[in-house]
Amino acid sequence: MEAEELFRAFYYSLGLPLRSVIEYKIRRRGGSPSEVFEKPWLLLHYVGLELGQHNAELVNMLFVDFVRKYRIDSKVAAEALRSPEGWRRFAEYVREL
Amino acid sequence: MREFFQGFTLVYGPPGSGKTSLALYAAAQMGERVMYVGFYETGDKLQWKIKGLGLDPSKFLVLDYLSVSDVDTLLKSVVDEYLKAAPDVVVLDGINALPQSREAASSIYRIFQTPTIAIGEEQIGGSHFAYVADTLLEVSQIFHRGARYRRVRVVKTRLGPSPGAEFFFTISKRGVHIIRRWSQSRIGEKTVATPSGRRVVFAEDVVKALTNIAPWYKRPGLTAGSRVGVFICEHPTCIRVSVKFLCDYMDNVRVGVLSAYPIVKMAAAQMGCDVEEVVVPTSALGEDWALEEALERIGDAPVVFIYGLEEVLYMYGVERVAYVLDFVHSVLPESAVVAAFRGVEPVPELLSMFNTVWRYFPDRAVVVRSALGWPVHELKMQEEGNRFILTF
Repeated sequence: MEAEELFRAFYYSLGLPLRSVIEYKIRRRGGSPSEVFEKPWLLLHYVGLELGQHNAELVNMLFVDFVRKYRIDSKVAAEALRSPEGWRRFAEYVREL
Repeated sequence: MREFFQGFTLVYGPPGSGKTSLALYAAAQMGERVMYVGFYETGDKLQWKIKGLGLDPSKFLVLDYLSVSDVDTLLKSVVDEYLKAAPDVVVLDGINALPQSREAASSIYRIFQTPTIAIGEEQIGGSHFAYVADTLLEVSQIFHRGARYRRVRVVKTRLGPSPGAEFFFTISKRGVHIIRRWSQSRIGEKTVATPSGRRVVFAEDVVKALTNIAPWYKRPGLTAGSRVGVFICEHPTCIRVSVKFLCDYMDNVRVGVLSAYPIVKMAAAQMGCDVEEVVVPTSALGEDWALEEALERIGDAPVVFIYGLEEVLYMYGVERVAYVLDFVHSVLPESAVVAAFRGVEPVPELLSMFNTVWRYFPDRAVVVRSALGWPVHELKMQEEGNRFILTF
């Protein structure tokens, strides 16, 4: 499984009401929701900016819980959405599984 | 207010009943750092509410959570934030959003060791959270004959004696205030006002008879926290004697005058007495804000005269009359209140609201009720020049 594919599955698992809020907030910031699929770390960035750091942490926890089902290390997963570097490490980790 | 919120308090009730305002106000009194966790309210709206209650926003850490289906992760996230913030008080608004199991209720109770106020919808009153809570408060909003009442009922207390069963409360820009029911036990010994006797005079033998049974009275006056009901006949003489009494008190102390219609100022002006009357139309007396504003204008007066309560009685019923009087006495507990009713019979439901009740006829004044035990029941009233003389 590819990391991008995993992220996409996680994102859709959030449910339509929550995704609608996130996508609205991204658009309000002048961004585009599709941008998040290219750069997944932007998800936490936008959520943190628009909805507070506590909600960014909540989304991150949901991500860690989601990928745990795929036997992905929690530490690697917890950093994946925080920065491009974290995402790169996560993608490598997933590729090597 | 703090007395109601002990340990883990669960506040529940229908939307709009004032649960969040009550919790925010109590939390601000209980500590310097309040962590507010909301599962339905947005941060912006909450900040607006905090400011609207006259509270200091810098005291509050507001965490408005997104609604997620994974409630276990949501709880984990809230606990993480709680550990990071280490607040003095926690408010969990919308506890219905958290897992509704016995285990979840028990773990929330054990984790939040600082005073915690949890807020939930009506059905949470029968949940596991209600079972573990130290204090259970049911909040409701009642509309009766066009007047609105907010009520808090103490359903359960575990950490000390119950502060009472049921109270009304009010929400305004001055905060949240409990409206305490008045009783005669709240009357102090201190005399807050005595009339000058320039316009209405008690004859010497009347004063002597009174001071014989109540030696602390040098002359008839009003004691702190007392309530006097005056039932005035429709005859102009009755209104005149009532306003003359008011002016006699005004000679000695500051008197706040609250009226449902503009009459007192005019009547007093004819007697050369300048009254600053705060007029609140009866139609506005069904809402708390009108009373709040009126009392703000009246300020810290040791005596408050209220005119036009018969209008409140006709429009909203006897409950609202009691509420208005309790409202005034909750804001000004040390003041004496004199409430006038025009053209109304002093029925038992009204009598019980006062420690002393007078009835004015054109030619006499009758003591209908007296906690002090007035030695006279009926006094003759004679007009001599600009004065009324009250004699046996």
